[in-house]
Amino acid sequence: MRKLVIVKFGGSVITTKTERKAINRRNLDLICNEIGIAFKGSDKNLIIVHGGGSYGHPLAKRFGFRYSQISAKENKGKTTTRNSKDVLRHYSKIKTTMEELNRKVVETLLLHETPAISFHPSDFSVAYEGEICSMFTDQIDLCLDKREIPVLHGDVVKDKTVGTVIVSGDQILSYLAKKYKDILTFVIVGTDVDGVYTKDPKIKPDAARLKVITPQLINELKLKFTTPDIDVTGGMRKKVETLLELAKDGIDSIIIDIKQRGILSNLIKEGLPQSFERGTIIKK
Amino acid sequence: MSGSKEERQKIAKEALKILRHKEIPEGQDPIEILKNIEFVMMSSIEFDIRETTTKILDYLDKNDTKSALSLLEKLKDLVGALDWE
Repeated sequence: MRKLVIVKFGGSVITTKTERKAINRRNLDLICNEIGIAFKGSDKNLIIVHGGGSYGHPLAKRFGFRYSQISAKENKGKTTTRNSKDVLRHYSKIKTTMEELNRKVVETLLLHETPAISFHPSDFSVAYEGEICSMFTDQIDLCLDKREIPVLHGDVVKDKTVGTVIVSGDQILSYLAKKYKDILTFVIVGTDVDGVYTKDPKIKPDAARLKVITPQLINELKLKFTTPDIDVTGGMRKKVETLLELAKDGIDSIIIDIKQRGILSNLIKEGLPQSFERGTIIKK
Repeated sequence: MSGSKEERQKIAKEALKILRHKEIPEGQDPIEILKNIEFVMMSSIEFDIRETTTKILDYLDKNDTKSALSLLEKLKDLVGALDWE
C-alpha cells in the first residue's frame, strides 16, 4: 500500500474566533490549495483531520455539554440530571453542526481537485472514559486503496461510561496514527503558531520555540508533566503528550503554522526533514 | 470592588480548576501556584489562555475581585475550545 501522511489542523485555524459558525475562508482555501498541490505532486496517501473551532465549542458550551476527555474519568458512573430527550437533542445538534463544518472543508478540497470524502466519527466510533476505544475503519481502508482522501473531524461520540463525550481532532489523529502505523510516514499538525513554545515569547525574553521535542528533552527541560512543582495545565499538556506518545511508538510528527504558504505542500511532498526552522518536530 | 484574601484565593483556585491543574496541596496558596504555572503554547488559543490568566492575576494583585471573577468565564470558554482542537 502507498505511504500515508496524516494532516490535522485545529478548528481555530479554519474558523473565526469572534463569530459563531464562521469560516475563515482565507485560511481554509490556502490549506486546501496546499493539500491539492501536494496530492498532485506526490504519490502518498492522505488522511485529513480537522477540529471544531467556532462550530463545535459554542454549542457544547451553550448546552452545558461537560464531558470531554479530561473530565470523563472524573464523571465515570455519574448520570446526568438533564432530561434524556434534551441530551439527545443537544448531541444531534452538535453533531449536525460539526457535519456542516466538515462539509465546507470537503467542498473546498473538492474545489482544489482533491478526491476528498467526508467521514463523521460519531457514526462509526465508540469511546470509553473519554478515549476512542473503537472505530470502524473499513471504509477508510477502501478509500486509501483508491487513493481517495478521508476527511474526519472532532466530534461528539457515544461513550460506554459517561454517555457522550467530545472527541478532539487530536484524539482522532492519535487513534488513526496508531491504526495506520505500518504505512504512516509522519504526522503534520497544523496550527496558527510556528511550533511549540514553553513560555510566551511576547512577555518572556528567554522564551524560545522548540525545534525538536523528544521524551528525553522534555525531562531535561524539567517540563514535568505529571506531578511537578511547576505545572503545565491539563488542557494544553494533553496535546504535546499525545504527540510524544506517538513518538514513543515510532511515529514522528511536526507542528507547523499551517497559514504559511508552501510549508504544508512541501512537507507532504518532500517528507519530514531532520531539522526545520519553521516548526517543531516531535520524535523519539 | 475589593475582596478578602480568602476571596482572592477562591478565585485563583477556580482558575486552576478551569485550567485542569492538579490538586492544590494542603496549605499552599493557589494564587502563588497560578503565578508559577508554565504554559505549553502551540496555537493562538493557548496564547489567549495565558493572557487571560495573567489578567486575572493582575486583578487579584490589585484586589479587584469583581474584574477577576468576570474573566473566569472567558477562561473557561478558551480552555473548553481546546477540547475541540
